Amino acid sequence: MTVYFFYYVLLISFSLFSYALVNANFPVQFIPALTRFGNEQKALLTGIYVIQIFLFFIFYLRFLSLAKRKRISKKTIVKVLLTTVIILFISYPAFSYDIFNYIATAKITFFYRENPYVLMPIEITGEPMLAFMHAANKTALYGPSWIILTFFPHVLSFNNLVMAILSFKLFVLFFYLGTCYLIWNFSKKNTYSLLFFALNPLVLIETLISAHNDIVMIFFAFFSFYLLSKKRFIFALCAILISVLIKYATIILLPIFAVVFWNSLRNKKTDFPKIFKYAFLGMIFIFLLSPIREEMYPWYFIWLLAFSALMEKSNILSTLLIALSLGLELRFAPFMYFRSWTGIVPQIKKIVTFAPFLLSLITLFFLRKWQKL
Amino acid sequence: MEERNKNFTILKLSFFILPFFIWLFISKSFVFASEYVLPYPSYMPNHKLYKIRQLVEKLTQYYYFGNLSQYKYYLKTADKYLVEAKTLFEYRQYRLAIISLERSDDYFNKAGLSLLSAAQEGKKIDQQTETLSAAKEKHLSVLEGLLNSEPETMSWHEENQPEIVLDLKSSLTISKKQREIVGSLIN
Repeated sequence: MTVYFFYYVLLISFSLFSYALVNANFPVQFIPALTRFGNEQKALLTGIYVIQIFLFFIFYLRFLSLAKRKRISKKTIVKVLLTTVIILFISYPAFSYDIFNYIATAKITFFYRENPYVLMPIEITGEPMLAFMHAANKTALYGPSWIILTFFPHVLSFNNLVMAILSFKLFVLFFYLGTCYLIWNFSKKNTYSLLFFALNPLVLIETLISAHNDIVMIFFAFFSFYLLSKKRFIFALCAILISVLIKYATIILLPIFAVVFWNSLRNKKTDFPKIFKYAFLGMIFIFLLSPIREEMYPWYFIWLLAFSALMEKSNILSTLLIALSLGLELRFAPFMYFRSWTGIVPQIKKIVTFAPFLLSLITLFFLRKWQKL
Repeated sequence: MEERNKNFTILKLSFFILPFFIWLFISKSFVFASEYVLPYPSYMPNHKLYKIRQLVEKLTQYYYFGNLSQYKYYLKTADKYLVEAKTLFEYRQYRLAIISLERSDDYFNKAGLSLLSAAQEGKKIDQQTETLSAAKEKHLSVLEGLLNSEPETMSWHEENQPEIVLDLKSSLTISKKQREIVGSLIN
């Protein structure tokens, strides 16, 4: 029980911590004292962040170990997941500005009734969000199905910024739960598979705190395979198209989808763990291509983690995935300290990203050598 | 044993990814500065792809929904036809040049009207007004240059058709006037 209690304490502490990073130009200052502390004590703040990230991973490993030894019940998993979702829902999206981009794009489309692929937020003179949002000088970065889907959180926001943050977070949260359900279903109720994805700190931070739309794209990809398994071919086709047209990354899954589609049409049994393994390899390829476009953002790793949860994987692969998740989440630390994305920060970001991965790799390599002797 | 070999393969594969990480370290980003300029001429009349270009132009008009988006479309197309007209004037294709110039006028007027309807809808148009003013000045300087370099009238004779006199000066003056009217309307 102690482990759960301290995990919940960490979740609350992290949620509160997020309010230390509210942008100074943001029209609402939720906890001014905390935000002031965040601005004045940058070194301490960075230290707290790093410690919390490590603690998150320690708890994650503990939960995985419990799941592996089948010492965690279904009821407990539901309780842990729901508590996590509720606590992180109230956090501020401190580690990424993408949610403001989603809100602004939806506003351009449904409030100003302009084409978001033509008009940039910066071209809307007097738009209050321009005071704090980033990438205002870019047209819509995401596909048309994402723009259409954002109609729902946009309507729920009633053109209020705080309501918009909450509605977009709620929207993403539902897709997180949906993805968890599909993983649970595909893994034949395997608790380890579910927790490997659902409680990965990277997934939690990037989905439940930062509300990235990657989870929506992944949900529709999984959903398409789920629909295929139920022989709902047209709906499955629609689902994969929606997924592709959210962020385009799942385009790599189309050949895999076609194979499953063909097999299902011919009533041939599909080996889903194998299919997800190919999907995982495809997503690795797209993930490694991401620096060509911009950079290797932590939330892109959700693409891999989701499929890796459903395939047979060795301890080494699991360790490397977890190590890279940790490294990717540490990328925000140098920015937190320097409050700049330029100068030495890009180099530090790269070092902290790959250090846990390389350390794990070297350790595993020597362990293997040592075992051989 | 098989599991061990599998694990070792993953390790070896991971080492192959290392050069990719190293490449990441040396990758750099670039920043570009931009300013308002007229485009280069695209396919000219009589080119076999000209009709396709026009069709694409018509179709993309629907993509630019919303007043401010439409304003961008109209201004972009007005620029394109002005450059086309200028090139045709330079090649002494006066009849085609006047058609292109009239198209440019039409799109420039529509750009102004789109901005006005955006303002009527309560949208702030400060930035767009500034851009349209800059575009107006640029268009005027091109038209002024053509007025100075081209003859006032030109006799034009096409195959199997009677000779006509093209009043180049009056066409260019009308275009100038239209830019000035749009400019005064939005200011």
